Amino acid sequence: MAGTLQFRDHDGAQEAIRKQLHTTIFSQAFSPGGKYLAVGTSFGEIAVFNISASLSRNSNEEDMKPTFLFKATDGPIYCLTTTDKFLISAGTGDVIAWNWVDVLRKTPKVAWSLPIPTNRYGLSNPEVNSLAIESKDGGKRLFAGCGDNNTYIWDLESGSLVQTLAGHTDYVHSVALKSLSDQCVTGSEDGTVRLWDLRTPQEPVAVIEPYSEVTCARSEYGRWIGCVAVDPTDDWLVCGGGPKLSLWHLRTFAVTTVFDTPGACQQYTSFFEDTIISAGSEPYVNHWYINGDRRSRVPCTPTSVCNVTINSEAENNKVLSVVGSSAKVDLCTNFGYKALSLTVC
Amino acid sequence: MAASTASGSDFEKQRQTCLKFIEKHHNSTDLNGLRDEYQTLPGSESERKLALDQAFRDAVHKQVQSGGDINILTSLINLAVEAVRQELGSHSTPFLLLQDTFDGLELEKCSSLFKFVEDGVATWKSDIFYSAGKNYLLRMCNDLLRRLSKSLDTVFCGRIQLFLARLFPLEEKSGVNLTSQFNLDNVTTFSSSAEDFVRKSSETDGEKDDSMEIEEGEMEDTLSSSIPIDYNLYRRFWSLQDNFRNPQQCYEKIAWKQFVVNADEVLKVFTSNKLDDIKSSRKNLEQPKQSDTHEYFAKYLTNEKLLDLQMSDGNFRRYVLVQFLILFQYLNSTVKFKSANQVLSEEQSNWVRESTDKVLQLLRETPPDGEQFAKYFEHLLAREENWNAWKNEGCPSYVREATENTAKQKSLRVRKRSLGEDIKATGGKVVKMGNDELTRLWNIYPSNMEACKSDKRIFLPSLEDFFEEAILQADPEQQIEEQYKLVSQSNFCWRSLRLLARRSPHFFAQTNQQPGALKISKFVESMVMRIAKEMPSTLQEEPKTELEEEEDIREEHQEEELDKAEETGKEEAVEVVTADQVATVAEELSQEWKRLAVELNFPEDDIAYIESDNEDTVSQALKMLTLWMENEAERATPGTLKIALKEVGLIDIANKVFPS
Repeated sequence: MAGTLQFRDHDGAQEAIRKQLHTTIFSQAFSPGGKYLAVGTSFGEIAVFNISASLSRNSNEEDMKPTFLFKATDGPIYCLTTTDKFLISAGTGDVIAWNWVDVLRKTPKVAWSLPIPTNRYGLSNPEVNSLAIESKDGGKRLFAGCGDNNTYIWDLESGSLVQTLAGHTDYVHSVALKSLSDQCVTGSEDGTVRLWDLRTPQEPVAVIEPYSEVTCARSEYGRWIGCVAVDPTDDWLVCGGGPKLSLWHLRTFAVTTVFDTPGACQQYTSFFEDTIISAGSEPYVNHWYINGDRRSRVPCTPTSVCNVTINSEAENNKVLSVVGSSAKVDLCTNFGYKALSLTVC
Repeated sequence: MAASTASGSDFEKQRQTCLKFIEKHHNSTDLNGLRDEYQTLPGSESERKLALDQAFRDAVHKQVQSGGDINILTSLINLAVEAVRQELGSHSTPFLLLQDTFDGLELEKCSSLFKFVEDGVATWKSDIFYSAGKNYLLRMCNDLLRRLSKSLDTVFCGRIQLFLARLFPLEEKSGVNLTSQFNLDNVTTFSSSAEDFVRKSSETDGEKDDSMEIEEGEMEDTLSSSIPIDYNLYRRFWSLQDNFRNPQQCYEKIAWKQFVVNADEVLKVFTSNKLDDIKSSRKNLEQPKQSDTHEYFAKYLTNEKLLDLQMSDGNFRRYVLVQFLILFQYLNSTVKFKSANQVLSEEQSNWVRESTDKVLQLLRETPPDGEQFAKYFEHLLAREENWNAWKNEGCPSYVREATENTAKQKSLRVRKRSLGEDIKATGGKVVKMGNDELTRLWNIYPSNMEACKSDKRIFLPSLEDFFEEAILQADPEQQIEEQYKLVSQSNFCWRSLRLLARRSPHFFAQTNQQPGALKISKFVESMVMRIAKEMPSTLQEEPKTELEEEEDIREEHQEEELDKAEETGKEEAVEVVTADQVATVAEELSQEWKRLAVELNFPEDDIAYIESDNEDTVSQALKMLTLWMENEAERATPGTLKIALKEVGLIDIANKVFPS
């Protein structure tokens, strides 16, 4: 009896280690107020960390573990985003919203969910690769870049599908919104970056093909565009993936700067203050100057980085969080180095 | 006892009189008045001295009590110094006065009075005062330092320290940390106390419970700190300071392990968190002066909220990296006062070596001017080794006694002469340059200045010579067509312009024509005309009739013939040395030819050249004489040769070859 019990325990420990080794964290979102961090794993779990506790003076091992972990979906959670009330997760299956209050009470309930429209044969079950929230004029819209090559836009007040941006010939990796105009940008596996005007959603305003640009093309890594971001002035776009990370001027659609990362494809990029942050298939987070010089290259735990998010909600918890192919979440207080690692399991 | 009281009253009297003298004389710089009056005092020499010393102290005492006018005090002390120099007072008096003054004055005045002490370093260091005063001065300075606040009066403290450094020699025992002890009082405190933790933890526990109210939780948090703090790093970072404070700890096993972990962590953070090199260099372009302002802090601020700023501060990083290097050097170096068990193990020294490389690399990367700073610091550490060795030898004096041995060596050493001196010393004699051709060239002229001035080196033709033909052509009577004139040749024009620029004032005279409007040939022609006008009238003869010209020609012809006749006559009259005579002279001369050559004004290098060009002396002599004949032409008469031979004392040869 004792033997079997021991064996079973042993098995459990083994499984935990194996799970830890196989965990990839695809997505993350900070809570409103910036005190908590939610991450979505490849096992369909959402883990919530109390960052205030982890960063506190007397933090211990326990504070590096999630305060709460729950199974959200069956498939992996590719993207997480947040409104002031809801934590929205998506991946395979529907887009699901969780009330933050419920999550923090450790009683998560699906507040509402949005099904991805099926194609006319009713056969597709596309995944959501990228979520973006736009809150303007009181109304909120949710953008989802999906595996069926389309980008869907919902009005969150009514919960109805407003628009569908179709045109990419392969799945959409990344969606970025322009902050001043009614436009958005999508990057896709087909190698193009498309700029859409939501007043004329039938076809894109412009199509950028970084793979055909000599300065940033890298045929050995393919054409795909893994990440796009638009700066707050709406004048600049940065994108990367198979081609090198490159900065484009949105009025002239010309490349101005190329940020070279030999041997690595960028999967995440964003503008932060006067720098560009990018990360990808190497255990580093790059900080760039707009002129193309690398400001720093900060080592991190995951060997491939999926997402980098800066907690802009609260100044006292203003950290840069890095997730990727590891069960660890790296927090950087000073963005120049990794301060500590949180563990999902 | 009775005697002493009796002399005591005398002393009192003397003291009073001295005081009066001093008060009378403290304004005058010369001491004669005081000395004269001092001589009038009764009592023995030592009694008088004592009285004067005491009087000085009284005078200073009075001044200090009445407010302490710095000027009067300094003049009093100066007077005392002078008195000691004149053997009137005892050596220690000025120091006692200084001590009294500093004891009695408030710090502000001390500071201005200290200026006087600083200026007097030379005086205090002089033989009369040094041995008597050094202890007084040291005590006085230490007293002052004790009174001063270390954090507020940093400048004054520094001045005192500098003064001491100037006053005492390097090996002065009071200034050297002989036993290599560390300043263990320099504790860097940082907040890691347990109570602090407890208080905080209860706070955060409370927050956890009402975490539903998100906004409220946030409010509470902002009270504790406004930015996220990496406490892990904070603790590791500041606990390093303890190892820097007391490096001996590193030889203990547990402390060492902790140190290695902390150091590795901190260095990793430094490596990862690159500082803005580009940004700072950009800034410097705009504000080049900015890097000149160096800030220096004697102590670190350890507030946890500052950590983030400190991590991105280049200067701060430099301090810490330098601390690392200093510690590493200490750990590796042999210090006399280390105990036997204070040695690094193989593994430890490997780690130290690796970390040293890492730290140096980081220093190089740390802006501004990291490369240079690292280089300087490496150099500094290398010098530190020397100081360490010096200390290990027990701090011997740095003034090296001149031993007799070295003095002897000095005198034996032959003074090395420079080449220039060599040439001057020979006074124009041949200087061997080590190579025949060089020797010849070097000796063409003994003096370079004269060589340059020689007529041979004037290459400019005179205006008259150069333009003679052109002037003739310019004469319209010559009827030379324009195109055949010299002035229409561009080559000639160019050369004339150059010559005019050097020789003619007209070239720079202003013309009313636009520059460049005139064709060069026309310009040159006009210049030619001007020069012609200026020239002496030789060419401005009256135009002659053809007849006259014919006559002229005839006359000239006759003149020429006459000249010819004269010349031939001269030639016949003048006797020139014949080749036979030269040959015989040469044979007779053989060895002596050089002396004759000198007499015949052959330059040294020619002689050397002749010598090297011909093998035996006879042919050398012959060559020399032939050259002489060629040079002198008709002046090479037997007479001159005879005189020359006589001058060098070879009268026999002269008589033999030229029998009169």
